[in-house]
Amino acid sequence: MIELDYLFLILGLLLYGFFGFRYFLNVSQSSVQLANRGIWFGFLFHGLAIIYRAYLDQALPFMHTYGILISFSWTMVLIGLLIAKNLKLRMISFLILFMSIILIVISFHMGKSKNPDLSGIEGVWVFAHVLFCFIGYAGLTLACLSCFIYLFQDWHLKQKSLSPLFKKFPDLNSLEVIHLKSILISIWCLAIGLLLGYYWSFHYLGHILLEDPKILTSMVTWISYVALFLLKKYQILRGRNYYFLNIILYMLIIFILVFLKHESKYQELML
Amino acid sequence: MTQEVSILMVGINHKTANVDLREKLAFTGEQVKEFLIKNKNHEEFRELVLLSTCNRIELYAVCYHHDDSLVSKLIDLIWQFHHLEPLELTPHIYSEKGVAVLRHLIKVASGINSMVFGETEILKQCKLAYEASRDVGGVRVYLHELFQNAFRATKLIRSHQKFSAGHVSVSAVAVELALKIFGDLSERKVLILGAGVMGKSVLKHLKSNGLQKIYVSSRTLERAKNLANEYGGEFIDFCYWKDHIVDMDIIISSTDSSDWLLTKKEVKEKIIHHERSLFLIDMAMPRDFDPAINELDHVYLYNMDDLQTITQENIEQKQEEVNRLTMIIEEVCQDYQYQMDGSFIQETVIGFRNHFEAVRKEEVNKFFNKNYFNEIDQQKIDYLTQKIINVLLHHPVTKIKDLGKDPLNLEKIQTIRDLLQEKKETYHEK
Repeated sequence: MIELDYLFLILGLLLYGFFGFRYFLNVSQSSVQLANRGIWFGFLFHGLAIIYRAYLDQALPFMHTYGILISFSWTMVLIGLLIAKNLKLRMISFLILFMSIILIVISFHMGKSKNPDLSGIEGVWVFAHVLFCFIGYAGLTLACLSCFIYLFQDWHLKQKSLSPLFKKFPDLNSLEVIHLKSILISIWCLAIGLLLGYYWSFHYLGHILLEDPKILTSMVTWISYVALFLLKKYQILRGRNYYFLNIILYMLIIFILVFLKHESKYQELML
Repeated sequence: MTQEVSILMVGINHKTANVDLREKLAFTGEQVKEFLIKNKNHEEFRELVLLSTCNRIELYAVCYHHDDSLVSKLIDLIWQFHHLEPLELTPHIYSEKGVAVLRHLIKVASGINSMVFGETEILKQCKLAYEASRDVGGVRVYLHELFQNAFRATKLIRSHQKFSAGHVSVSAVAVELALKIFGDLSERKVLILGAGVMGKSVLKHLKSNGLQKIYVSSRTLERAKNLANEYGGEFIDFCYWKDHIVDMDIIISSTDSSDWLLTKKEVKEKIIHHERSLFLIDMAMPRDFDPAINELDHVYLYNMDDLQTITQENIEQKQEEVNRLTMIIEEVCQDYQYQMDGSFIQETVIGFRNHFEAVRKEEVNKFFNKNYFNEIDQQKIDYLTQKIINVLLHHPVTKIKDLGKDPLNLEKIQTIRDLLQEKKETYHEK
C-alpha cells in the first residue's frame, strides 16, 4: 500500500514536471503565469507530503535523509517560484525545478530511520535553525546555478556563437544581479541559522562544540562566502575567476553536508 | 470554395512600399472604424476587415460573385477614403484570392512576414482589426472563418519549439548582443566613434531599445556634432575619447583609421576599475580595435565579420523554420479549403435538386394547363412526379456527397456543376 506522503509527492512531481517544462517551451507572460499556477499546486502537495511525514514520525521532518531531501527540495521550489515572477529568469526556475525533481526522486530511495546525529534534536529553536540553513543553502544553490549559466553565456559571447540555448538563458547583468542577491540572502539566513544552532547547542549541551569538524567547516564556508561577496562587491575579484571560485566553494559545501559527520563527542552529548 | 463567393485581399507592406507611401495610405484607429462603417453596406463587398499597422495596410474582403476587376475596386476603396489622386500603385500592391488569402494572413499574424521575424505584436493588431470590423457588422461568415483559422494556425506556429524572434540584420544582431550582456539598455552609455552609416544604423536600433545616454566622437567635427544633435547625444573631442572609456558600456566604431584605435593593453589599463562589462562593436574596415581585446575578461569585441556570420546563421535558421512552418500552414489551409468545400458540395446538391425540380414543375404545369385532369388528380400526379424525381436523384446525390469527402474529387464535382449549367441552358433554349 502506497503511503500518503508518497502519493502527495508523486502528484507534486507530476505538476512540477508538466508545468516546469512550460518554462522551457514558452516565452509569453500568460503561459509562464499558467505554469506558475500549476507549480504552486505541486508545491502545495509537496508541502502536504512533508507535514504528513512529520505527523507520522511525530518529529521534525529533518530527522532522516528522506525528510531532509524533500524539505530541502521544497525550499528550492519556493525560491524557483519566487524568481519565476521575472519572465527573463524563467530558465533558472526551470533548472531549479529540474534539480528539485531529481532530489525528490532520490529521496524515494532513502531510508526513514532516524539519523543518530540528529536523534536528540527537538524544539522550535532547532526547527528555526534548520529552516534558515535550508533557505541559506537553497540560495547558495541558486547562486552556484547562476554561476554556471553566467559562464555558459560568457563562453558563447566569447566564441561568438549564439546557440538556441544561449538565447533562452538570461542576460549577464540579470545573472549577476540574481547571483549577488541570492548570496546576500544566503549569508544572512546562514548567519541566523548558525547563531540559532550555537544558541541551541549552548542551551541544551552546555557549550558550543567549535572543534567539531562539521560545525567548524560550516563556519569557515560562511566566512569564505562573506569574503567572496565583499571581494566581488568592491571589484577586487570579478569576471570568470570569481564565478569559478564560487562554484568550487559550493562544491565544498556539498562535501561538508554529504560526507562530513559530527565527531563522536557531539554524538555522545546528543545521546 | 463556393463558386459565387470570392475571398480576396489587397495590401502594401514594408517590402513593397516605402514609408512615404505607407504613411499616405495608413489609417488611424478612428479612420478604420469610419472606413468600415462607410463601406458596411457596399453593394459588392459584403464583408471587410482593414488591417493598418506601421508596416502594412491590408484590406480583406468577401464578394458574392466573381469579377476580375474586384481587386482594383478594392484598391479604389482605400484611395477614395483618403481623397488621394490615383497613383501608379501596381508595383507596390499585392493581392491574393481564395485559400491564398488565408495562407497570407497566417504568415502576417504569426510574424513570418514581419520586419522582425516572429514578432508577437502583429497578432494583437490582427485581432484588433478583426474585432473592429466585427463590432460594426463588417464580419459575417466568411471572414470570421478566415480569421479564426489564421488565429488557430498562429497559435500552432507559436507553440512550435523552435519558432523564435531572431534578427536578420547586422544592426539588429548587435543590439541583440547588447541586450544579452546588459539586459536593460536605458541606463547604459554608448560612445560612437566616427559617423559612418553602419554605426548610425546600430545607434538607431539601440535607441529604439531604450538607450538614452549617447556620446559621439569623430575626427570630422561637424558630422559628429550633427549626429549628436540628431540622436540627442553629447559630443566628445576625438583627442580625448579614450579618457571616457571607463564610463562607457558600449563603444561602436566606424572610422576610416588605418591603425588600431584601441589595443588590448590600453583596454586592460582603462577597465581595471570598470565595474561592468564592456561591449565593443567594430564596424570599420580596416578594423579599429585589436582583436586580442576579446581575450580580456568581461570585454566582448565583435567586428563586422562576426556580426555578419551570426546574421547569416540566423537567416539560415529562419529559413529552416519557415520551411517547417509551411507544413503547418498548408495543413490549416487544406482544412479550411475542405471546410469551405462543404458548402460547395451542399450548394451542388441543392442546385442539382433545384434543377430537376424546376424541369419537373415546368413540364407538369404544361400538362396541367391543358386541363386533362381535375384538381385532385393534379395533386396526385404532382406528388407522384416529385417522388419519382426523389427516387431518381437519391443515388446521384449520395454519390456527390461521397465525392465531397475527398478534396481530390473537387474537379469531378465542378464537372457535374458545369454539366448541370449546360443542361439548364440547353433545356431553356429548347
